[in-house]
Amino acid sequence: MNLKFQLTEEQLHNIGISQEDIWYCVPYDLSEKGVFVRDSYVVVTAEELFVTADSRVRRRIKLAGCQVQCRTLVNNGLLALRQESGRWETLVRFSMKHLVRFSYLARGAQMLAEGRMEKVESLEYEPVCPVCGRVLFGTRECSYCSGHGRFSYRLWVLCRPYIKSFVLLILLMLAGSLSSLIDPKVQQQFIDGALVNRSGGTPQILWFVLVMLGLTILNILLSVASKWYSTWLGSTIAADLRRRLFYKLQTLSLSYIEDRKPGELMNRISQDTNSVRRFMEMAFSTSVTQFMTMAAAIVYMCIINWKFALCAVVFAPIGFFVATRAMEFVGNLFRRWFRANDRLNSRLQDVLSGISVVKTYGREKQEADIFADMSDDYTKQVIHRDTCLDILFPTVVYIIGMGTYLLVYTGGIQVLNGVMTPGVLMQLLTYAGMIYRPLQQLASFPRQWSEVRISVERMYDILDVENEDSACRGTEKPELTGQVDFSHVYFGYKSYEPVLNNVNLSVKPGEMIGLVGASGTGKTTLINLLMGLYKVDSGKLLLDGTDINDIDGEYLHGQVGVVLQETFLFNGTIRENISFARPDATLEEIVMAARMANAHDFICRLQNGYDTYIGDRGYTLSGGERQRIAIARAVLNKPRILILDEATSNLDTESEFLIQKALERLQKNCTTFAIAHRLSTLRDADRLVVIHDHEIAEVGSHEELMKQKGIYYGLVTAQLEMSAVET
Amino acid sequence: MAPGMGGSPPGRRRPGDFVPQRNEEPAGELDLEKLEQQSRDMMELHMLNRDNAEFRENSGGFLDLSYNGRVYEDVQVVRMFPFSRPDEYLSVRESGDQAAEIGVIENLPRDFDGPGEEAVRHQLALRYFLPAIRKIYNVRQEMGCVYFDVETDYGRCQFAFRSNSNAVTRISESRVMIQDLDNNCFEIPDIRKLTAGEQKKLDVYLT
Ligand SMILES: Nc1ncnc2c1ncn2[C@@H]1O[C@H](COP(=O)(O)OP(=O)(O)O)[C@@H](O)[C@H]1O
Ligand SMILES: [Mg+2]
Repeated sequence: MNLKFQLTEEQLHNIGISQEDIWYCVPYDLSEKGVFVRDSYVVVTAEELFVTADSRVRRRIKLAGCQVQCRTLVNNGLLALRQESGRWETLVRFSMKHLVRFSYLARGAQMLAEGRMEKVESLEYEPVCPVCGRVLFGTRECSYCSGHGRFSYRLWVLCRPYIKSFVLLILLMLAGSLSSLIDPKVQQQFIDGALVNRSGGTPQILWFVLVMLGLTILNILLSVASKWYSTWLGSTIAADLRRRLFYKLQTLSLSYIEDRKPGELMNRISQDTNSVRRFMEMAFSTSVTQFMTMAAAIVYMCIINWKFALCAVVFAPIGFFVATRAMEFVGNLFRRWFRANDRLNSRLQDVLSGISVVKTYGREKQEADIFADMSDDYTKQVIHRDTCLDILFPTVVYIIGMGTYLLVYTGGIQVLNGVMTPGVLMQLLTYAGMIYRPLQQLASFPRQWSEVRISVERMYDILDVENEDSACRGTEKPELTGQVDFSHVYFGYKSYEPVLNNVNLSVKPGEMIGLVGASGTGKTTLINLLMGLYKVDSGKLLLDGTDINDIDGEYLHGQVGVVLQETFLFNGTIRENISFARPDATLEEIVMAARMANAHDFICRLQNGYDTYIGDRGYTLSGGERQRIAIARAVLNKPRILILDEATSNLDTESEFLIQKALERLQKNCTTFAIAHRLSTLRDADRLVVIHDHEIAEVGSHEELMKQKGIYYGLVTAQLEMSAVET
Repeated sequence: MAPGMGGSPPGRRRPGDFVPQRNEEPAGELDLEKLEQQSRDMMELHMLNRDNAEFRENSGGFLDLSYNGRVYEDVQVVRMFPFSRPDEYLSVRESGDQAAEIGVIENLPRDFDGPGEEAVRHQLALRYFLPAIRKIYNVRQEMGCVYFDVETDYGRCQFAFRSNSNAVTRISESRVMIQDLDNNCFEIPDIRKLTAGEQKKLDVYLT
């Protein structure tokens, strides 16, 4: 992200510096009262900070000894500064557009004020293309400037792997439309040659009937073949897309997925790929044949008499003009409908997965009403869409078809004058019909075109994202022993809202680290970083000396065992759930893992043992039982790094103790990070790390920290007294 | 990288340097008495009004509060119900990361007046930036993104959001919020006051 905007000569002159003096230069866009302003900058040089407005300098401040902060407010932010022995004051205001930039600037200016001549750099992408001003969706390259964002290009990329099949399909269709074009010619010969002159006899009629029959059969065969072939092609492309989307979704960073409703993502995988299939099957096959027939018919008519050809198509441009003008409108109809559909699906998903909450609060009736409203809305959208389409496209077809009247009128006069034979007129009218009839069938084409256009747009919304913000995209597979080093790690889910500040921690293989701190301080976040779910914003996270970003993700996750705060079990048997990470585990390994997690006994008490079906349907486990299965899942992996995020919070003290003993044995050769609110759980940890105010506040063993009488001491005494009250 | 909320105070703590004490009381003496007090506090709202509290704007443009014989500097005023009750139930908090609540203003125009009310209003205007859209000049849709060009009560501005996102939401029958790609928010106080054409343009994106 650009932190050094280019100033004009005049602006530089007014400030009295040259471009090279500038360390940071960032625009702000709000006045103190909140009015949008332009051409206003905050400029930082090695020693000073300038605020300019309309290319004049408004403030000039010596940086040394100052404190600089970027404060996030609601939908805007401000740069605050405190001069030595002064008060905090507001320097400038800006909208969220510049917030990230200012948070970097504040950090950079602060370092300069402290006399550290280091430059802050931003690796984040520009949100807007610097060339054309269009929004970039988490990509480095502007898809407009490169032309890769155009629908036709995307469709082409989609179809490129199947180009041979397409050529074959088009040849089939070509043959089909040629065979139907011979028909009128044969008819004309028959009428003018055999009937009008009354020169032919029964054999000619029979011969004619046979030829007609043969042509019809050929026609049918060709159309069946091309239909079948296009169905196959459509399904294959859709399946391919579905696979790619699903894969992409899995590799996308969590932050992207968290931003979207699950129902919406589901729709994109299941429905949008389907609309591509439908398009390929229906629209593509029929429309290509029809277009070819139309084109050939026009050519034939031109050969016979170009004036008549002109009569037939004279209204077409008007029709096409109306159709293209309507395209955006139709696109919006589909957009509205997709949106209603997403809404409906998300709600359904939401309510069904939270059905127990709905029931316990007796909200069935209200939920049903809300759903009924949404369903009505959806129905309305469908009806509105279809009504519009049903009026619009037949109208267009009618406009184009008005040429027939002209044709009949002029042609009729010519036949009466004896200039033209009735057979030729008949042939011309048939060809004209061949132009209009496909149009009728093509009436649904713009609709399908619009639908597939929006669908492709929605799918590329996912496919285009570069997964830059999740870590471990590398290829290295270092031998992991469990050595973990955090060095100057900063992280925030949003870059202007820090969750972890300057984390420094070095963990030796086999060590057990207990993470302690109030909820919301960033313990789980630290764990997420360690699992490579998010990328650190600055600083380094090293596993056995290798940067986590360079490590192969799959390889890393194979070496890390995790039990999360919220246990998630998949639909499947207990056995499948335990062996989720390693489906090839032997039965003995599975049982051993379950024993370690103290889950074996309760599993044996179940009627179906390890084959008990759990998840949405089937047997439902208690919170503690779920946790124990999750622990078994984690230890089965024989992980190098074991992560327990409140893994035993739902267990009674006795099971917790048993599991701890078992884990201790396991921990001999694996580094453990454990988070627990019950501090007694962490008693045996080699070191405790206290996180406070988004920073590491204390590190040491239980005894050391107790002696130190700091935050940890406070927490322990508080818990002791609490439990004293309880008993 | 996340630069954080700007500069850190000089001498940032490292894990190696132990911090024996917090600024407040030593954490070790956290006793039941205090917890009890805290839990009582949690259940109690300290109502601020012109009789017991005085707000003043300080030279830096921030807000100071004198309350119960104490002076709090740089306090924050937070709306509890920013959409439904913008002038009522304002939480007044100390500055800093884990800001404790000092008290609550139940109804600003009723409980305060004069310079005090002005000062609080100024803080609110600073904190909550929510331009209201008066007029939609142009809506352009291109490659999955919608570009708006609008007139707001804070001047003309342009913003963009994804056409397939949930950027436009209805928060009541007539009130609509738009969140753009940078997380800026715009408000349409009464969608019925827009022209039919403007409403149609917006309607496509309404969640
Ligand atoms: N996925 C997320 N997106 C944005 N913010 C998050 C996300 N997860 C957690 N946070 C925020 O980060 C902070 C730290 O959360 P977390 O690490 O879960 O705390 P802890 O585990 O210590 O209770 C919290 O303020 C929380 O609101
Ligand atoms: Mg947590």
